[in-house]
Amino acid sequence: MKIFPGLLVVFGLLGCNSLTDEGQTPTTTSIMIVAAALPEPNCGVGTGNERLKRGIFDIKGVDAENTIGAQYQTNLVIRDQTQTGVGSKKLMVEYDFSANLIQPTAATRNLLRQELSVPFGGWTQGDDGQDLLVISSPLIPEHITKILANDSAIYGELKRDDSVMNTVSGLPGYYTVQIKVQALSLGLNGQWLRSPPYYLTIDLCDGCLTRIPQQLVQDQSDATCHSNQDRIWLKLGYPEFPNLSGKTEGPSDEGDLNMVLTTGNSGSVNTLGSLGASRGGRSKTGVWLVAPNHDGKSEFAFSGLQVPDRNPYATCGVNNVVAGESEDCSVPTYPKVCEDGSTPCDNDDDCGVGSCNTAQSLRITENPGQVVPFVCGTPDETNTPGGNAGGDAGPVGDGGTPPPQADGGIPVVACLYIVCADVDNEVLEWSTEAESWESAKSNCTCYSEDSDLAEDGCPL
Amino acid sequence: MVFRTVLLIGLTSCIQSQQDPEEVAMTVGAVVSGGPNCAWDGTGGQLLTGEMDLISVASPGGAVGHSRRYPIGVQWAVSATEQAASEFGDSFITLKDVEVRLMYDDAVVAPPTDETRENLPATYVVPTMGTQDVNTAPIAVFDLIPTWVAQRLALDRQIWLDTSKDSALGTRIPAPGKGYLLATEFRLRGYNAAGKRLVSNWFRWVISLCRGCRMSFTTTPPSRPAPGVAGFPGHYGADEINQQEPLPSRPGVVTWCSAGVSQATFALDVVQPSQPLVPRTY
Repeated sequence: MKIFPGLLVVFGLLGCNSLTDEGQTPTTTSIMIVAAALPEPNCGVGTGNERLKRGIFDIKGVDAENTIGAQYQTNLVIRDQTQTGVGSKKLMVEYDFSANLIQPTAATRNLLRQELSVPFGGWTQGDDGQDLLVISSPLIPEHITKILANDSAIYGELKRDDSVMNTVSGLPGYYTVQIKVQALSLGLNGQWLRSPPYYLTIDLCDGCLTRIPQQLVQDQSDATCHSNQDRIWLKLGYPEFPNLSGKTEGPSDEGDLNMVLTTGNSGSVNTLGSLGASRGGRSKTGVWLVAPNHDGKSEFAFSGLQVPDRNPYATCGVNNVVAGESEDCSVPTYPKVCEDGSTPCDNDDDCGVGSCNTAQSLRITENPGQVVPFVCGTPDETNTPGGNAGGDAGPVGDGGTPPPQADGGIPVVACLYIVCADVDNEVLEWSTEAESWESAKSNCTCYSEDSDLAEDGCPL
Repeated sequence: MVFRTVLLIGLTSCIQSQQDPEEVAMTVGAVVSGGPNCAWDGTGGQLLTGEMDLISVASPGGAVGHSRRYPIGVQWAVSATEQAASEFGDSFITLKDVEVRLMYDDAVVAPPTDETRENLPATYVVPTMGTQDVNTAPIAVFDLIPTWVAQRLALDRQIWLDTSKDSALGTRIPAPGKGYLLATEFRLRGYNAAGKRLVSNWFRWVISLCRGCRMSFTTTPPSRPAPGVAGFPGHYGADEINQQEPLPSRPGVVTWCSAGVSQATFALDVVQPSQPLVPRTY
């Protein structure tokens, strides 16, 4: 009978033990996890850093073997009152998925049932009077990431097969993991010190931080310390674009049937690097002959401009234009015509019979049925008839006849060209400034042998 | 007989410790905005009311609903009695989760249908994190309405009727101007360093449920742009979306705290799966 009270005590204690959560019982408050810290943009982290309110871990790209080695790195602010700074150090980690309606598969739960030990280092004695320290360790190490990313239940909840939602629309699914973590350290006296638990809530997602708007440009790499976690708001930086502009200096010599178009790129990236370039960075630079109002010219809408058909009358392909450099190409000085000498054309197909050739001159219709050729250049003012006010040959924008050359040759008149880069919009240029038609015209320049005409007549 | 007696005594001896009432050791002070970066760094100011857009949350197949939730950030503090204790002793508080209950009876409109109420628990628990920390006003962030609750609310007939209108075709369509007031209450739960379970006061937060008041999609359902068509997911304001020349000045991001809830600074959450890059015409 003497042992009966003893049995009562023993069983009583056993009963208590079976109903008490041992995990909630701290070993000591000598060390405590105070917070999780967000690193600075330069990845520096200190005890005073902004606190992490909610973790985000993007497992996009994690395959069956986690070959990209993704893991969730955590910076914990720890208060070490003992400042032992010695001995083994590790974090005891437990994963909880009860926040989700759908639990991971039994296999995953079994694998993660046991408390996981994650080592950490770098914990040394703080400065005098400073007992807060920062430690860094992967709370979801690579092999755990692999398990989670390949769990079929989590896969389904994250809609990992839904690239439209996860990548394109920017509304990726999530799966919440709560991690219970305790710091464990061996003190100077050989005694293990175990901190009270700290709970870290992390959302798994697939594509929320590493979204790639694949049709246009890639996200800019940003100053994130771990590209797969936490700072969702920093990941989408402004993309960089080429900034193209076309220009010409006209024919090298008066009478040349070809002239050079120059496509410059003042942007920060090459055209070939722009994912918006659907043809590998190639685009076209085109040229219009605005004045004089020549035969075959018609109107087309460019912000109200009246520029000649063919629209443009010539283009040339531009290959990769390196940032800060330019590329030249050659185009006809005058719109091409078919062999009949009067039908405008781009290529032989436009002519039906015969070929499409470079015209030797421009043609204007002076009177019905009367077509007069002329060439672009600097008119000889001495031969300018009085009807041309001010002695300036000027544009023949109204279809007037240019004065004949003194030697009886083809009359010369000042012409006005517009040259635009990227006329087919193959190389997207995305300015960070508000766009408008005004800025759209920045791809274009005017050229004329007559400076007054270039300044006053340029419709840009 | 003896064995059962011993077991009974053993269990009885634990009653005291197991039935300790939860101590209210924390006070929830206010709901704060997530700010432009969803960082809840305290710079966003306090919120007075909540708003959640349920549009498309319950679309067939999940559609655009599988990431939608109502996150919330709350300022909290240690109660005065606990504050007297040492800053770092056994009374140091660590948060673990939040208990939430939906208060249908206080609704100024008809409560959700019985089916909805039967499909939702009386209370549910969502995880959170944080401690009372040092030199930093603690803010706890959690999903007041997680996706699985939002989906049930979105499917509710009564809420649908109160957030929709009759169309000319004789069908019901979302009415962005209408709202359904849903009262919620929540309390933080955590432990002190000694392992004792602690709670905060119950804090009431009223959310206006709507359809289309904060969110719209340029295509329904969202779809991947065709090959060769420029696409950029983003978070665009109404002004940007109506900009004639494409290319909004700032392609924002649809963050997990701004997709249809009144936490962020955007006037409207517009998800634009296919960027309207209009080719320039020369």
